[in-house]
Amino acid sequence: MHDVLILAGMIVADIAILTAWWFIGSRLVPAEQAPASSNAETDKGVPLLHKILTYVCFVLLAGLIIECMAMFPAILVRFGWS
Amino acid sequence: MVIKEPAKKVTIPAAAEPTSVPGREPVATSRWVEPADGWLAAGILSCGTMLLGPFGAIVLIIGLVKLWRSVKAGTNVRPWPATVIGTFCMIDGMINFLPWSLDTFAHNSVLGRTFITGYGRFFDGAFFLDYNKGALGGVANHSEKMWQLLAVFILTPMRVVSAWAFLQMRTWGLHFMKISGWLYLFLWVGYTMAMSLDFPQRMANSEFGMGWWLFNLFYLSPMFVLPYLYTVDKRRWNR
Repeated sequence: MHDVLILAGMIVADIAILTAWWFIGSRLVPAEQAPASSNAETDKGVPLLHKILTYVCFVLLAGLIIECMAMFPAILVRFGWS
Repeated sequence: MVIKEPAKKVTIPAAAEPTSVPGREPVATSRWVEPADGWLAAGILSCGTMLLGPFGAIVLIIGLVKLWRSVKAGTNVRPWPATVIGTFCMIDGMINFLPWSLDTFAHNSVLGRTFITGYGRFFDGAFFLDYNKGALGGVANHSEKMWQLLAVFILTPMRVVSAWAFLQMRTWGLHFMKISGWLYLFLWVGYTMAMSLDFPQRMANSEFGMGWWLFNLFYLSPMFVLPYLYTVDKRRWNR
């Protein structure tokens, strides 16, 4: 019961923090007009850049998913509950 | 910068979906930019807890497969690179936010102690040595505690919400992704310095000395994400 209260408190705190940042972020929108050059997705080289970045980020995302899947089970198997 | 009125719920008609695609009926309004975004959110949030990782990963992979199929069918609204980069940033933010908040708020629970000290034994001795003996409980290492509070209250929740708003094609999502990207770079430089200076206490006391390399790989995300954010067609983020 002791742990349940602590963990519930943590979840409430986390949701409050995320909500606060969502509230702040959604009310702050950049007012400046984008110059034509900033909408340069179709410019020479940009599609290739995006392709490379997508591949790199996909590999890193796969690494993170593996880390998320393996970490806690590995801790429990190797060290048990503490 | 302007202060905006609270945003009204905007719905993107799934009219972008052609009616000719077999098996994909047009929907009048959608809560998400993509119909599979519910899977994506559930997968990221649960996988990002690390504690529910194996289950969350299944949901997340289902979401990504659905989104990829939508890209292949040409029915997607959001570009695939934005999906990959937004998902990567959001899960990266979550796996830093929740475990660190476990240490900040729940270091006296069995779950918190098991996970954090287990991580410490594997990768980073700061999360194991003198655990729960500092003034604020949890990690006792001063520099780690400082970065932890900064990350739990400012950077990582900001990263999580901005990545989700980015995935939902909101204007402020793209804007906040850039801000949190630069802040992430700031965190990376400071954290690398703290890890390096305390290397003998932290890495030398862990089971695998590769912790330094492991964390560096993922903290480098701004290097890959910022170039995308600054070259993307920002007119698409108009919700």
